[in-house]
Amino acid sequence: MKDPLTELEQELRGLTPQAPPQSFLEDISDALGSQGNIAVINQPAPPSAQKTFFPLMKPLGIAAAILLCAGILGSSIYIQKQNSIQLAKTKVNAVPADPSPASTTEAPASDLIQWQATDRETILVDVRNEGVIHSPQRPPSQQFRYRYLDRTTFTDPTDKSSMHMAVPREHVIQVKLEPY
Amino acid sequence: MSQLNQEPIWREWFKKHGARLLLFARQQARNPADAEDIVQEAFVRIWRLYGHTGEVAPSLVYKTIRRIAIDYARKDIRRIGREEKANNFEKLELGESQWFEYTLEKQERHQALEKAIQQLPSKHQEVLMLKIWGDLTFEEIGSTLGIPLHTAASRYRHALTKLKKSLSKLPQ
Repeated sequence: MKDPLTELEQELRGLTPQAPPQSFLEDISDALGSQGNIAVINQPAPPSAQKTFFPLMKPLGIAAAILLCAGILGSSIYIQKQNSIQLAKTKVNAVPADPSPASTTEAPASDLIQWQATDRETILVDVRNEGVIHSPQRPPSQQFRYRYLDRTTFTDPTDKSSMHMAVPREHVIQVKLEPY
Repeated sequence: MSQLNQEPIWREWFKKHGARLLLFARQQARNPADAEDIVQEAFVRIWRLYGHTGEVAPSLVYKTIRRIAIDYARKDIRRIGREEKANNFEKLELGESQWFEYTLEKQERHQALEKAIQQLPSKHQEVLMLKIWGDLTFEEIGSTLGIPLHTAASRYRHALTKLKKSLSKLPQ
């Protein structure tokens, strides 16, 4: 059972004290003077102000962004097109031969001779059956694709330094099928 | 970019505590005009001292209100001004001024409650005000009124008992 005094307490809490009139706040503001404005809080602008600000600014901002993007895209396409036209007009012969083809210096023949292929191996990496190939001119055939890796080791006999080279290679075999 | 309005903190603080302070001042003062003067004086005095921190303990303002109210009662220097101001109010007597907002459906009950509160002895009224509407602890009430904690608690209990008794006489 509830204490009757607790109930009364609850009822009393339900009573709201009369709010001070607005003029009273202004009196206090006058009395405080500039000291009242020392401590302030930043509050967002009233919703009405925001409503008038954003509906104007938002579409304008979006439109400006779209125009900017379209401008950049258009100019890049134009430049690319102009370049390709210019390149198409250029004759192959007209391209001047580079007088100094490369800054690389040719290795002396004696250096190349020094390297000897000491080890060669071919590794079968993969075999794939690619099915029956139909061609109008030729009879049908079964196609197999072999993938290899050719590895070669070169050694310089003078200083015993070595160099490995790996070259991928494909080999396609077509086996003719006997039609019934 | 969102715009910001700068509002003095004291306005926010006063929106939260102003009505309670004024209620306490109405209980302490002789008339509503005095109550407003007392609250204004107390608040300005305290805010000038501690307002720059952005937060002021309400118990400090309650204490100041009480001191100023005692000064008002003792001195008669503002009697003329008070009487002039008081003429603007229809209800001059303490018992006739309205302390609370009434809701339409409970108007009669609220009026009865207010009348019963106003008939309590002043020492019980002030404890009741500070406890119920000031949200102070008994320790804070004791400090504000300059009485021991247990005295504050027992006065509060007595106030509730008396209120209950006077309300039970009324038709429900």
